[in-house]
Amino acid sequence: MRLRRQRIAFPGGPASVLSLGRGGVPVLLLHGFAGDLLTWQFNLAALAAGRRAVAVDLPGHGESTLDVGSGRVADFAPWVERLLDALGLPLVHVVGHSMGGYLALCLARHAPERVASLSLVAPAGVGPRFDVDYLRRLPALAGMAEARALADALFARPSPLADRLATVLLAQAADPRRRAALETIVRASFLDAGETLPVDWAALPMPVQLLWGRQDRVIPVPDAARLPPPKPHRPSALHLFDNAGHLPHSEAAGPVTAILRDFLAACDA
Amino acid sequence: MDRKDFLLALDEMLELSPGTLTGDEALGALEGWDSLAVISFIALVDEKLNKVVEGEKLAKAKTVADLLDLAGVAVPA
Repeated sequence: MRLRRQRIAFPGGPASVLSLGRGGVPVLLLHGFAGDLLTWQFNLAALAAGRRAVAVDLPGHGESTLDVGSGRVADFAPWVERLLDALGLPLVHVVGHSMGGYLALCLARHAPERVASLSLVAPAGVGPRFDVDYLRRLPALAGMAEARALADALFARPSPLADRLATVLLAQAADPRRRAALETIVRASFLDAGETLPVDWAALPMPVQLLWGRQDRVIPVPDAARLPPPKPHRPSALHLFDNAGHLPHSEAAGPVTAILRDFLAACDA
Repeated sequence: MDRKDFLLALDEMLELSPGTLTGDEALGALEGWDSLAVISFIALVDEKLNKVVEGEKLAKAKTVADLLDLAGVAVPA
């Protein structure tokens, strides 16, 4: 399998994408706020077995356009659809983390015919509670100590990934254009967003699953009333992971990836 | 795939001259060992050895020998 990093030109772009594998119904991976496509470093290769896996840098992040428009995450859904057009992908499984999970939900509402399934990893926009102060601080980091503290807070236990993550977060905050882009998103999507209403799961025609770390302090696991209702063949759409915080796809990468692979294969069957 | 072949595959993946890696190298000292290399390593093990490397274990790897161990390639005592 050949890893391909591409810069895709399209209206509203460019978008930076990382692809691996070929064939099958591709899987599209959407990262969280202040992250980038490399958040999927432990998952991408395993998800690319028998299908194409595509991770994308969202607007204002990584090497994609820094133009975030209104800053409303919901407005990124048409951007993702245009990216799918540019990539020639009529139908994809979508896996989204945190803000990317909320964007996945928005894409599923905006263009349901393009989404074969939804896997939401610690998604925003499902439960009523999230640590808005945490998100507000991410683009405005004052120094390494604060960056390290915020990086540590993403994990349930001390992580060897925290050092590198803190360095990346601090560099991002020190870049005025990136900082402005992230602050626009914070204002439009987190501070001024108003109350999070329950998701109308019945309106989504595709299979949906949620994956969450039990020790998530940024977006805690919501009450059952906020989750997709049980079905006869699927008592719960929620998978919980012990010893995992807000990055279960890193901290519990093995079981999370296995569940994603099985779910995508079952949806294809 | 034996240890020697796997080390050669890692050399190629990290764009090093064949025979560069011996197993003792610290990953932090290898310029090419980054997140993209992590993805390529997982893909390499999946493709050549039909084994899925668990990312949470890979995150703790410190040396090339740790990578061999994760891949299930025999490491001499």
